[in-house]
Amino acid sequence: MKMILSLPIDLLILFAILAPIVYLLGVKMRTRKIVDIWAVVGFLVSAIALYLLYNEVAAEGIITHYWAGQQLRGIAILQIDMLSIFMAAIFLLIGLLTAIYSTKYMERDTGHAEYYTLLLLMVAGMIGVAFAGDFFTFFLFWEIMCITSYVLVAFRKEKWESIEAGFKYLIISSAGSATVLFAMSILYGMAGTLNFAYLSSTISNTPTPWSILALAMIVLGLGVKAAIVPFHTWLPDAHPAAPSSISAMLSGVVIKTGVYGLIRIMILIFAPAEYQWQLLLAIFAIITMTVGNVMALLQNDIKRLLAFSSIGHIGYIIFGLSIASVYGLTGGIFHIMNHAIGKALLFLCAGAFLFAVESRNLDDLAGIGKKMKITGLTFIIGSLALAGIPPLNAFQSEFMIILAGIQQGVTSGIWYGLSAIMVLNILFSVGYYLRIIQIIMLREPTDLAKKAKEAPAPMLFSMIILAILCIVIGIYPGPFADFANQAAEAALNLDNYVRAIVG
Amino acid sequence: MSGFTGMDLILAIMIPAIIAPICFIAGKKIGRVGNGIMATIALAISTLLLLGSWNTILSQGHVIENYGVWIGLFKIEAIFLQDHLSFAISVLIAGISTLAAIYSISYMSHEHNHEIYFASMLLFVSGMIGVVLSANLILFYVFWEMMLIPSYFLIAYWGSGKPRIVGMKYFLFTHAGAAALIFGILTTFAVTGTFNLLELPDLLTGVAPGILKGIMILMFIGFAVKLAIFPVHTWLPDAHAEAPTPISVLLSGVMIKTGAYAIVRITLTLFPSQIMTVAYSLAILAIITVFWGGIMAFVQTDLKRMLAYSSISQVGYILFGIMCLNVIGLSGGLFNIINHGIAKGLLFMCAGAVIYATGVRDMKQLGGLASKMPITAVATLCGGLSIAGTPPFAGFASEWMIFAGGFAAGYTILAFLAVGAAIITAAYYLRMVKRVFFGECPSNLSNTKEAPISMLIPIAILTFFTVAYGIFAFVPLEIVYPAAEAVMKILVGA
Repeated sequence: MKMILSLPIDLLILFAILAPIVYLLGVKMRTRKIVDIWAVVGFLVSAIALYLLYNEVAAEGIITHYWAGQQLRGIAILQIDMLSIFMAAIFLLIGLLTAIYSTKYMERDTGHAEYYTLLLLMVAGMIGVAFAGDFFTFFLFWEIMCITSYVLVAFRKEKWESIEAGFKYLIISSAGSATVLFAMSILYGMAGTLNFAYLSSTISNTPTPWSILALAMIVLGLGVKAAIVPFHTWLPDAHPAAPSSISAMLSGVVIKTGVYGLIRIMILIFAPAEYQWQLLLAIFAIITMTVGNVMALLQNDIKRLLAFSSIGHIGYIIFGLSIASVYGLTGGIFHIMNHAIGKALLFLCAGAFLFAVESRNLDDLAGIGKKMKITGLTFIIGSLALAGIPPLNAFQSEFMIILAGIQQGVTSGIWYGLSAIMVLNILFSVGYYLRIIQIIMLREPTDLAKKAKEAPAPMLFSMIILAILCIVIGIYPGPFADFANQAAEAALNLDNYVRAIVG
Repeated sequence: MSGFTGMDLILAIMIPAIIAPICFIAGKKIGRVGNGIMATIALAISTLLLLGSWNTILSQGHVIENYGVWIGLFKIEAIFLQDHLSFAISVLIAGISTLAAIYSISYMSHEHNHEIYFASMLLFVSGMIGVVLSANLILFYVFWEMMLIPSYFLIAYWGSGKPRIVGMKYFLFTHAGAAALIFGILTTFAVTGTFNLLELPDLLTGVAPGILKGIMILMFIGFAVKLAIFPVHTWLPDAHAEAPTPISVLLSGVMIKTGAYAIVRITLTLFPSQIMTVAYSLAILAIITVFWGGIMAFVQTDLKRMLAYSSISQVGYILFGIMCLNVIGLSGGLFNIINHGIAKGLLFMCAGAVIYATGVRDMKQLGGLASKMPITAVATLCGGLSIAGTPPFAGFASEWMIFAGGFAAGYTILAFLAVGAAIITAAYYLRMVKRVFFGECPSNLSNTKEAPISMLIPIAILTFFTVAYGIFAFVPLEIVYPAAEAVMKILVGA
């Protein structure tokens, strides 16, 4: 029997739609927890479906699926290769751990039915973006993801901060979406199709003013989501204001969909050899990482600090993309995974601190690691990992990116300089990671921190899994790097991607 | 036939790393003493495993353990190499660490969280041994940084004075050096396509000299920070003085020597013709380091801070010996790595014993302890005289070789200066011994007792070696001389 290729998405949507009903049943049966478990099961089932899909992709290389049932000039198509699977796997992993974490973390909030529906839908949207084979599907799922995330940022609607951040996020991000839509319409006007493969075969080799305009608008539109400086201003407000589990999703994976879109579209439709966007994008990347890291050093709110650090890491990933070689892209994609794991871990830890003492201010949190030993330990691991210290995971991908930059430098000297700036950035970022470690772990506990109790088991579970992943990927990166490498090869192998549709 | 198990090298690295989490988890149950004994046993096993490869080295020249592909994407292999050079340094590291673990059991009795302390210490040592045995630059870098994290926590958590700031300074300095190092390593890969230290010498000969010089400078910056060469030495006096004493032993005794090891192993063997063009300038830098460390040590009144500055002075000697680029200077430098490791470890342990017994670390407030702590007093005298280069102690032989190497290399003025600096060294050590152990005993210290036996055992063992290596200097020379000859063969070939 042939499996339905959209199954991971379908299952998530199904579970999302049924979540309110399950919640109502739970209320009737006086066991409110049932909807939490329902969501966790949803992610698990979807993960199994994704694993089956992975086997198919590993066997066939690329698979396509017309989800609307019939072929409409390559519209409404899912086209799944290793890059899509790689991204979807990260989305589901972080989604699952977030859901487990939320079962305890969201205990003090109401509206669990809405929360889990939105969370499941958001992940479904992200996987849809990664699977999309044409702009129509891409944009559809993109908007599912965006709209759910707006609501989730403003989920604690009794607080003014959440409303304000959510509104700001809504305005800026919608402007980005509209820009992408505009670019889509230009591309449609030029090629008469929205299918990625057809667009690739008509546009990628012939830069015209219109296609360059479309490229610029796509970089801008997706750049807003990916928080490339100067389109990043929504991020430091939105990520801290959301509940911490959602911050972990937003900073860990949602911004990566923007990066995924950039990787897929820029490599496929605007071939780097013709459009020569590498250096310009690299300069954007350098500015992004520098602004992110410098701003992070100045923060006194732990979640805001982590949010700025995400901008810095997006800079590293975009730098890897801008090199557009196999190593560069592998490093960038690998770093997507490592940053997702590390940053989700840190936000979950920050959430655990918040859960214990109701404060995000670093002065209040001083010394809390001495009271919450396990959370503190995982927090140290996450911080050191993201600081790029071997033998933890982010080091492995960062060295690949820098290596690719230096290799580029052998042919064109400016890349030596750009890579050196990235090394300096990593060095600089150690400063603030060390600062938060010192504040959280080494200072004498404040009065507030003294009252803190260790986080409950479901929250610890998610954090420990992520911390173990940080160490395992760092010590034995082989299989993970190979997976990222397959994804990068798939992204760079235009022929396969185009031939699957154009024939 | 290689050693005991055929996997000696990787086990020597991994056993401390594997025992570390066990120490941490079981820590609360087995207590401080249990923890300390476990750490000691783990490190002792490492030492024995490393010693076990000696026969193979004698017969075949080296032991290579290749565990195949580690990161397939870059064809990075997990490969370890033990030859005369790494044998000398790795055994020194493992041996001194074992003694430091024994010493910690009593010394850390007033402190808290022993389980984390011993776990960090084991990871720290595992990183150091790994650095010395790695035959792959990425693996080397990973271990290089693996030393850094636990040692940072050891300083920042159990240190004295302002440990947070000192720890931060230590971390940022070493990490900045490491950033230069990784840039050099990655450029090496970009021009050759391999990280393998055994293949690199051949592949690098085809690369443009300008690029090679750039790589060499980048890497040297990384090593120089670790070795604390003037002007990137400023982290050392703070870190080594404020760390808990057993950790000072490790930092000053062995960790900084990984920088010297790396200079010999990587800078000299990979870039032989480039190093020759800068050797004289580096020798000048070494002499400046010798004097800077010596003069600063002379004006200190804090016991541990003085020892820390003395370390800077001594790494200057080591670098000078290496930069002579002849067999006698190089083997003198390597010999001094061993001698200084033993003697400085000994002196820090003695200083720790004095601090443990009296609670005072300012030399002005100490005095007349010779009758109260006779063993510590004798040991301190032996250690101080050894570092000052007095016969028949070990330091005499190595410093004499360094001076001879300097004259042989034609650095006449520098060598004279180096000899002169030895007088400063003798002056501050004798003054320290006089101030601490002779003269009038302050009334508040009249009840001082000798340090506990578990602290005296490592002190006694190290004292034995400072004397034994002075009289039977041919024993360690049998190890370091072939190492120097092997390196020189590459240098002469270039």
